[in-house]
Amino acid sequence: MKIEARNIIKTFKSGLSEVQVLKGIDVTIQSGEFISIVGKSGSGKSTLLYILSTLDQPTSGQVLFDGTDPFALNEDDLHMLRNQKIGFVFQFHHLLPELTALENVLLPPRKLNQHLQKQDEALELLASFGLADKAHRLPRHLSGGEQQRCALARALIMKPAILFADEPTGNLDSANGELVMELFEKVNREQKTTIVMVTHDPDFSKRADREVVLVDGVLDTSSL
Amino acid sequence: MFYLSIRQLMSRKRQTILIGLGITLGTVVYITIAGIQLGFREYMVKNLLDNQPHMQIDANERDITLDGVTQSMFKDSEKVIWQIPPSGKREDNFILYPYYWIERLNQDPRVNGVSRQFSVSAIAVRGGIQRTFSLQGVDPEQHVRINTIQNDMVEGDFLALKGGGNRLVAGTQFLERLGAKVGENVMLSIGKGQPVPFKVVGSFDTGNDMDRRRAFSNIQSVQQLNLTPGRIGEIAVGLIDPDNAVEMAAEYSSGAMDEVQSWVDLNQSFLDMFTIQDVIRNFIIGSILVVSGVGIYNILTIMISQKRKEIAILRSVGYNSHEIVELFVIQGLILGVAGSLLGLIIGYGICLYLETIKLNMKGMGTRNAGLLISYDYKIYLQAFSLAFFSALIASYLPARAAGKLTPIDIIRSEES
Ligand SMILES: Nc1ncnc2c1ncn2[C@@H]1O[C@H](COP(=O)(O)OP(=O)(O)OP(=O)(O)O)[C@@H](O)[C@H]1O
Ligand SMILES: [Mg+2]
Repeated sequence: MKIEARNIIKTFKSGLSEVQVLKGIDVTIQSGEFISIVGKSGSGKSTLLYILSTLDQPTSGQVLFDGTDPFALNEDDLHMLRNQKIGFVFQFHHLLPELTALENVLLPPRKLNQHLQKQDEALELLASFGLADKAHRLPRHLSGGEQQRCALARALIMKPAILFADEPTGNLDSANGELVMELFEKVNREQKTTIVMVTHDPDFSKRADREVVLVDGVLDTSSL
Repeated sequence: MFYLSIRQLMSRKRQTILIGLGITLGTVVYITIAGIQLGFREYMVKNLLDNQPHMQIDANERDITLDGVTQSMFKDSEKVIWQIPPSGKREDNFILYPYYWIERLNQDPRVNGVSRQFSVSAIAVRGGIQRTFSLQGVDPEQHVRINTIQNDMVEGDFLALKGGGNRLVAGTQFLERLGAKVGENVMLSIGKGQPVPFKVVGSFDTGNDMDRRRAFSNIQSVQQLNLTPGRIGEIAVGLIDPDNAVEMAAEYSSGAMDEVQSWVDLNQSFLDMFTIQDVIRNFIIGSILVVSGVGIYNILTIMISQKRKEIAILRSVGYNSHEIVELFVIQGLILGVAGSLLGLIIGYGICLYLETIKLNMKGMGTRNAGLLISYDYKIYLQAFSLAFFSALIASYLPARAAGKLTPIDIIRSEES
């Protein structure tokens, strides 16, 4: 899936003053591309990622998914887009604590009542992420790295066209970070999944097809 | 969402059980209180309806009027000034046109029986013993249609009063006090005329203290004893459905010279007590609702604030706000339904138990040994729906607030 961002501006009101966090971002992400977003803390990386991924709306400007504006869709279609075309991984591997690893992975298909058909697929996915024997464990009995891989499996279970990740390795030690990074690369290579990843780690960033540098709410044009 | 709701409830067993038990307790209290109150009420109303006419027609009391007296005593001829003006009630308080009523009532399909009545207070003499009592003259065949007296007969048959002939059916306690037996004669007088012998042909025991000074006879015998042949004090009406009484009394009252009252009018002060009971019961229900409702509301609100992250995840994988609302409302409803069903069962059990407790309620005119409990299905339906709806509202409010959160609001607030 191809994503185009056109002149994205995002301002936040804080008290009486307004802060412009994104100051007119234009970026095009090709289908199948693996792109990383880097920049200092507070430069607006997360804000941009949320806008690109439909979780947040820009103050002005437009995001187009293969030419359509997700916010022009009706509610149901927007939720379906999130459910089927988009995967998310956050820095804090968000799993539902009362569900097992497998059940967490099956959350997106459950919305469509497809969790039974997807069960084998989910187990395979977990196995390929090194979690074969941990599928029936609750998140609190998994390590941080295992939880993050489980969250990645959940993001991928619907075979999304695009995967958004906000510092997916931020909370992991280097070995676990490396594991997750390798999975990202594999998914990108084998499934042709478009990946947009925010990261602080310069080594991981360099392994993407393209690095986008954000400086105080504008793209460093030298990076494009 | 049902599945996830269950999982979330299961993962907080102690909280879940606590709220559930709160709802159970409320339901139990409701069922027990309502069961006792309504059981008592059902019994009392049944008692009333068994022993009283559903509708009664009385002569209106007529006041003595100044003009009327002046007119009849002095005609128009003189100008009269009274030092103490005449006032009071006329003694002759009887229905003037009884057959108009009887005919009309007999044609009404809602009417089950119509009994003319004429009661006097009389003195019974036997040997050296004298007892005053209320002598109630009735139409025997009609009276047994509109009254359960026939079931309370200890000796003899109420219908033995048929055809007049100075016969008497008396309360067993009255006969004991008088030292008389069925089959014997007693002398009755009403303070005017000669005492007249009446033959006791039956005795009854209704369980009511009134039996100590009460006896029935044929209306004609009573009219003759009182030297007022043909006089009718009131007309007692039995209805097929006593619930029609109020409406029918209003219908028959309009334009009537006599007073038509339903059993509800006749027992107004007694029935008012039930209204007070209702107020008390509703107050209790209200408190229970508030307490259990606030309990559910609080716990779900706290739980939802702890579950913000999870709401964000669900939203980000495509669950919409309705599904989030559903997630929490289902939990509230499961608690409401399970808690109140358990309460229904326990409440029923407690009612069964209470019924076995022996109480001495003789003074209330009852012969029932245990507490009187109502098992009306409506009580159970009400208890269940109250629990259900309070759980629904108490969970919907916080759930709706949770549904309104957008994923990004949550993620940002969790980050900071
Ligand atoms: N809801 C908000 N209201 C006000 N200001 C906000 C809000 N969200 C973000 N900001 C501000 O926007 C700026 C960019 O935030 P953002 O989270 O996008 O930075 P970031 O590049 O992801 O930083 P980090 O590397 O620390 O995650 C920050 O200064 C932040 O304080
Ligand atoms: Mg960030």
